[in-house]
Amino acid sequence: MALKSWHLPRRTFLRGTGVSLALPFLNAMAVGREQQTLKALPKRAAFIFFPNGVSLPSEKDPQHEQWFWFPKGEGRDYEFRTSQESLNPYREDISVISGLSHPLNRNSGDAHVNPTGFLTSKEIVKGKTTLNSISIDQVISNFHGGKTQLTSMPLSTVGGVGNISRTYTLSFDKEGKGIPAWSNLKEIYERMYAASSPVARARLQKKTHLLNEIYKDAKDLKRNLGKQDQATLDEYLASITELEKKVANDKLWATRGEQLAPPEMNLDIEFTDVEHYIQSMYDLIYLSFKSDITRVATYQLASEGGTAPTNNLSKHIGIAKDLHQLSHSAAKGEDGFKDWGLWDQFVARQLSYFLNRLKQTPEGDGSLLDRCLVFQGAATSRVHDNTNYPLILAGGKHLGHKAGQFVAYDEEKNVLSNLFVRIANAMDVPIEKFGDSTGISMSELFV
Amino acid sequence: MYDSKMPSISPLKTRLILFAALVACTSGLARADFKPDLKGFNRKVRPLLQKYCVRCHGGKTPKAEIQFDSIDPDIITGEHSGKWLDVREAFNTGEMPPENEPQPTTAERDAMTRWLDAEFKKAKLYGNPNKRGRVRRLTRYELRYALEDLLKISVKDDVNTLPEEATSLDSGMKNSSRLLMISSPHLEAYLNVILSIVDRMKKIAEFEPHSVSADIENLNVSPAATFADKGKRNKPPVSKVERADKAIIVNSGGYIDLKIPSISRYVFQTSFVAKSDSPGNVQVTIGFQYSDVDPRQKVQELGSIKIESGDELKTYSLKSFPEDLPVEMTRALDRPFFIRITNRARQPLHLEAFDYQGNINTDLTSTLIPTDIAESDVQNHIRQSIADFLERAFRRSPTESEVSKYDAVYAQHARDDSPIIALLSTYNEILCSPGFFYLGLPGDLSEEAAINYKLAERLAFFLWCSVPDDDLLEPASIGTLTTPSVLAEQVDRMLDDEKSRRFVERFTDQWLKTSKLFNVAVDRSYYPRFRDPLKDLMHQETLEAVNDVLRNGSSALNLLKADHVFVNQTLAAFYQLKRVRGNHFRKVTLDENDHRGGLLTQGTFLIGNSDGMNSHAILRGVWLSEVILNDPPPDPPANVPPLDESIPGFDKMTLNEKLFAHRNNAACSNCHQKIDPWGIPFENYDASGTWRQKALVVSRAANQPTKKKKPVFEKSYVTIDRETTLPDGVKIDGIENLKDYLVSQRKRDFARGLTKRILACALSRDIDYHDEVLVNLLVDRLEQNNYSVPTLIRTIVQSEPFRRGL
Repeated sequence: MALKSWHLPRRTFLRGTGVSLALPFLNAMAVGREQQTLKALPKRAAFIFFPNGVSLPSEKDPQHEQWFWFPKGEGRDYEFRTSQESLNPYREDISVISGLSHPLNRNSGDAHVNPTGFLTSKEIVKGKTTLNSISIDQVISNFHGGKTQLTSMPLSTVGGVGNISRTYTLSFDKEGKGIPAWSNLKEIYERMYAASSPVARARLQKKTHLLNEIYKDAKDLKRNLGKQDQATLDEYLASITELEKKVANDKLWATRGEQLAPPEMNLDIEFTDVEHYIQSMYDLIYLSFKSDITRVATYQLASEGGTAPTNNLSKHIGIAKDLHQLSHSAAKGEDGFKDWGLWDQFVARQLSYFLNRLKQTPEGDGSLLDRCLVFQGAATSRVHDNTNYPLILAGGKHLGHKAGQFVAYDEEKNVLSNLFVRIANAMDVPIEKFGDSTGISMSELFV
Repeated sequence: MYDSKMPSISPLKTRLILFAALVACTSGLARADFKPDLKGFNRKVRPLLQKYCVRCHGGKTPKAEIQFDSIDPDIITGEHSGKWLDVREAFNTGEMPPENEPQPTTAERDAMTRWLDAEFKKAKLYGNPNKRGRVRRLTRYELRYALEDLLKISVKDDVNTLPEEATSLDSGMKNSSRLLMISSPHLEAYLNVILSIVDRMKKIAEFEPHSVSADIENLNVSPAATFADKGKRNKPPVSKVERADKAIIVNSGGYIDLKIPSISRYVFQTSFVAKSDSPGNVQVTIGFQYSDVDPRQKVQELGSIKIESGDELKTYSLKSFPEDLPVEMTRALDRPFFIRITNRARQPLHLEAFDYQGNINTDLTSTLIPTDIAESDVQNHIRQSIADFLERAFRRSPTESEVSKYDAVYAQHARDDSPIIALLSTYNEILCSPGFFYLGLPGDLSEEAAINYKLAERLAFFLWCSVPDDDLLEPASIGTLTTPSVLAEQVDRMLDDEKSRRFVERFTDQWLKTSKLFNVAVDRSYYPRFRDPLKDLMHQETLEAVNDVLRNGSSALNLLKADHVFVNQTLAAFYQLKRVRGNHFRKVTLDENDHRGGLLTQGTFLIGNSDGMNSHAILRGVWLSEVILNDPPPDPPANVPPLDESIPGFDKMTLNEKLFAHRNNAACSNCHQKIDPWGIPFENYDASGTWRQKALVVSRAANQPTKKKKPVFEKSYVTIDRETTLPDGVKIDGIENLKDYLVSQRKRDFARGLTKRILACALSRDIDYHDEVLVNLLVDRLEQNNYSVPTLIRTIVQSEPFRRGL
């Protein structure tokens, strides 16, 4: 049993990776071909979700001034309140957005169903709807699929799919089936660097050989069988063919992976170690973007509702109430909104950690952040109120995002899906419509 | 042991009966017989739909797109079967017709329910049979046992990374060929498992065994005491040890440590030479100190060795496996460890030597290539090994081309690697082949050889969950396994072999759904006597009881009612049974007032069918009808309302009264009249499986303190009302009464359920209408032979469907 690289302390990794990993395209940046090279740089998008909405005390409430989630002011003259202060260093890279939501989801019949449609905008009615529709990240990933080793990275703290009314994933495929989200840090890391170690490459070679052999064996053995049993072996043969394709793809990336030594990091972290866990998730997305392992990632920071395994996250960081209680009892106690605001503050701090990593990494004529669109939000404003989602769009300056402002939309006239269309467009995906979008161009946010 | 003198029927007669049965089967029900009951629809159902439903669900704009005036009444193959599912649900839950509309009478409701149930049952059966053939892949657990038998190495952890197989809804079995499908992620996981196991074996083969001995002769037995921070005196490691010439005396509670440079990566052995005046135990532990400055130690017990009394020095040793140790130990590769032996006896232990051996891989390497083989014979030995391995792994004689193919694989690997490594690489390829992974593949064998070899294979996977051994392949290879007497001999031998424990364990878990025991957390604030390790003991109790029936041939009716239990001291104490000493399980005869005996009163099911706080008569009732009576109640409808706790005085009601309140709900009453009466006699057992005179009821307290995080529950005790009237009108008072009733009135139902499950397991498929005649015959046979399951197994094995794999 060899000492695996993830047994090293996490901090070692953080110090170790700055600009040290030179990417191939940087070498290719010869004079005169600069513009062309910049154009070829990958574009990425991350979609982040947190549950139950945010602290929004009414204006009469003494807690309003400090703990209201949305900033003071508007347009370019806006100022973060206490809970979002940690985002100040990235102020010029961020748009704060109010007034957008998915109106179809207001009649779901169950308040906790909202997150299911967060990236799809589909109307989900409790007990009736069995399938979602495709999520925006998958629209983008389907377009860019094949260019990277992982077509997309669906992450969540709980992991898996959950069910249609308590979803543990943000990503849904063409048929509207949930794509199982990954939650185990080690597994995610192994998927990212599946083809990078010499052992893994040797194993791929071996698998190619074995698949070839067992295909022949199965063909031979199939000959003397009855019809039904032939069908059983046909299923086996089909899975061999399918696996051959996957192994071939893995090998393709293995050649590239040789230049890409997996960084050392500590992956023995459970989500109960909340801050380290979330930051490690962001580290993994960051690494995947930086080394072009994927172009699209989703991350469900926690799941909605009181029964989710992540409901206690707030307690693990020293807040007396669980997440669901935070949202429900905010108006009751004297410090209710402040308590909730402390959680908001925590969420903002994690986002700023992620943005910092992206911004500190130079790429082309700017930073990695300039070619990453980071979208973060919840599917309710406060308790079960399916309007005015608290949204942040960060990064993507070189992808046409007009950052550095607080944009307030009119709830009656606009929908969140319009923004999704623009994010997809910025990622080169030529769609005009998504979900319930109405074709409004959102020129306030995009060039 | 079952009695070999038990009355038996001559093999020839058996065959004749079975042949007749087979003819009857094949000419009996076929798929075409699942015809929809259209007459019933037109006569009984259509008028009801007209009367109550069509006004909304009909015409041009039917509600919910259900149009009863033109719906296709063929639920089995018709185009509207999906809609019928919705209709049934809405109807059964009482959702439809809506409250403010005219409601059907009870008789009308019954007619509708009955027709729907019958049609859906047919649809279920129609959908299943013969969609897949008999070739199937190995289940996860079969794969584990087969690899362990072939490679002689534990692979439990590796195999657990594979996805678990689906359970057949019909039989509860996991080896149903219809459900054992494969997809590319599964195939990849499978290849990864094989690659990892063989890679591990290669590493093990290259380990250097090493050993360390304690220098007893020069051991300093009086080291200075050390002092910790606050002046607290640390116990010196050998304070209870004295010198006795060249040996040492370890007094009661004393221990000595042997330092080892690092943890063993494979089997390791602790040995010592000692004697004692009285019998006692020596505990062996392994541990490490946190660091040079941190004196805390992490210690893990390896086991305990029994010391015999006497004047003679004896060598005692204990083998241990690193995979049983916590990861924080096995991961710490560069850390020094110590092996500690502690004298747990009252008397002193006289110790002369203390050794440790690590990385003992000689067992493994010598099974691959024995060390005593002459250099010149190695090549021959390897060729023979490959041919033998192929025969065992493929469960048939390999073809010449297969042998030469794998000889070539070996030759290619042997160019770069040592013979042992090259041989392992060859095994690796053999184990990845479908010839190993799929059951029922005849390869190029002649018909007769195929029948023989595939029979051996079926038998081994039935009774051992694994590949046949050489003694079973031998008669198959010469074509005599199909001879009834040879087959019977093999069955007896195999049931005798400890490997058939696997069949008992897997079958018991799947048949009786024992996993529920482990899914229920018994709340210790209400059951302070309960400890979680008891669950393993209860599970073992169940396995022992079933083992006694399945392998030893005790009457299967013992599972319904018995005058004995299988327990060890700890479990006996929990059950409040006296006179049981020691950790091993044994058969204990019961007194009348012990309230145990049979499956019904085992902790496994009493806990598994409770909710951890309260006993649960409904779950127990469902379990009884499903498993014991072979009459599973239908699944509860969606949106089933729980017991209505808002009824005034609910908390103080007896269970009977509560259930009665539940039954009053129209949507529930139909099913619950068939379930509840079975659960009530169990009320003398609480949610931890203990006997009680009054029932503890845990409910939410009326006054919930607002500031506390957790809701507050309160306890109350109510009298047990255990009288019940069964659906067939029989009055039952208490569990013993119920057991008597089951043994006298329902034994055939029980025998039938057991028979069907064993047959399903043997044939690895669901049992359906086609098997009716065979099942009846087998149940008769079971009854005629004192409910001896080994006899039932012998009959199944001799039957045509099993012999031919039909």
